[in-house]
Amino acid sequence: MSREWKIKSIFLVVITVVITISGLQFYKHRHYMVPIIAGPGVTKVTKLSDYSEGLKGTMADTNVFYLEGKEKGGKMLIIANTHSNEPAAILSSLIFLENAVVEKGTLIIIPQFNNSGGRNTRPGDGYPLYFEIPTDWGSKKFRIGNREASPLDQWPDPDVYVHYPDKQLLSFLDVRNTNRTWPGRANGPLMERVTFGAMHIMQEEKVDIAFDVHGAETMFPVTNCIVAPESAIRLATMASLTVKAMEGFENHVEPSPKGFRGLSHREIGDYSDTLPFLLEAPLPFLDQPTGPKTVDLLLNGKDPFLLSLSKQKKLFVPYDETGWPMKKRVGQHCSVMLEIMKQFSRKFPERAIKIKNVPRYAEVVKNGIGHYFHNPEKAEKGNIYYN
Amino acid sequence: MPIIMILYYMITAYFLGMLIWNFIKEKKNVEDMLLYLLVMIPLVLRILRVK
Repeated sequence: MSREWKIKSIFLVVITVVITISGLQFYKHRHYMVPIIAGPGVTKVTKLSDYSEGLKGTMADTNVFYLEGKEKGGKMLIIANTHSNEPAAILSSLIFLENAVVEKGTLIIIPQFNNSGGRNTRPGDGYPLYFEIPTDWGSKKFRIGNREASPLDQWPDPDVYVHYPDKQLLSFLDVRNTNRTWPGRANGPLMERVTFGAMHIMQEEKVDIAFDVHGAETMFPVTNCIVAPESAIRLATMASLTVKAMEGFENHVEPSPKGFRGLSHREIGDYSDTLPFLLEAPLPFLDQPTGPKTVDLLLNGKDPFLLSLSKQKKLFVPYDETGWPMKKRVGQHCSVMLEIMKQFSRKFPERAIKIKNVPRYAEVVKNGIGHYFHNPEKAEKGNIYYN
Repeated sequence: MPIIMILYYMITAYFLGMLIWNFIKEKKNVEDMLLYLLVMIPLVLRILRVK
């Protein structure tokens, strides 16, 4: 063998090893299935493609869980993992899904809304592929996804995303961001078909209140808050004041800007009768000036650089050595959703919603998130939904 | 799969073919040989629909 081919062979072996190792990790991540256990309140499970036909057979299709009460009442929708790198959303939605019992009205939950985004990774930012939540029976493993859907499922990106129907020019990346593609359309790009499906649910089911659950940087002003349009801002304010007074945590209200299109808290209110609320909990993992993006940072939110910035008053949330543990963020989401539901039920008693067995902030902080997840090995097989 | 996606995979395959051709043709410059292989990684992962 010539010297040239000896060198080439060595390079080929090295590159093949690199492709095989990384490729296997990416493949396993994309196809890893999270077991979701339908709790005692779940009465029906459908697919989002039942409401948006263009999703059938695609990676963007996802499960929709219904928890219907015996007594008729209002309807509430929880959308989680709009951004799959903001995991407090899926964790709080699963606490509802695995534990809630609806006494009056209906609760609809879409725990993995941007299913394609949940199977997308962010190696350029050094994101880990998975995280685990300790439970009473072991641990539950989740994928860490990305903000945008995978280019394997929706491609190519345009130079500029022209929002439908307002024609506002948005970043090219936002064509794969399910918090910019509202209200969506049946035959648009894949992510528009996802939001179209959710809009269809809200219109067909006459949903009264909808939550889109998120996490945001501590250096970003729209964090630790409830974002609501004009129609929903009074309920948001009442809930914000109540949780501060009764449960001792801050969650201020931000008005939904009229001129910024494609966001759930804007378009849901404009294109349906549903009152939308976007919930943000602080997520230090997303901040730029942090140390390595580790699972520990994701779960505990402790970072020396953010601590230093906090002392210089550069953050928009209180921050100390304890960081921002996941259980605080999830607890906040649970309490805020329950409180808005309570305020809504008071204001519209004929459309009241009553849910029991969902913990509030103090209980989640005390018992941990995993305490509320059920063991898939002990659950009835028919109640486990892998996605 | 939409037609435009198929066209993109064809473009990816074309560039991958060009890189392989250049890698084979390169006789002396070791850095270029390595460069061709490194550039191939994302194209291979995309064609295999892994990443």
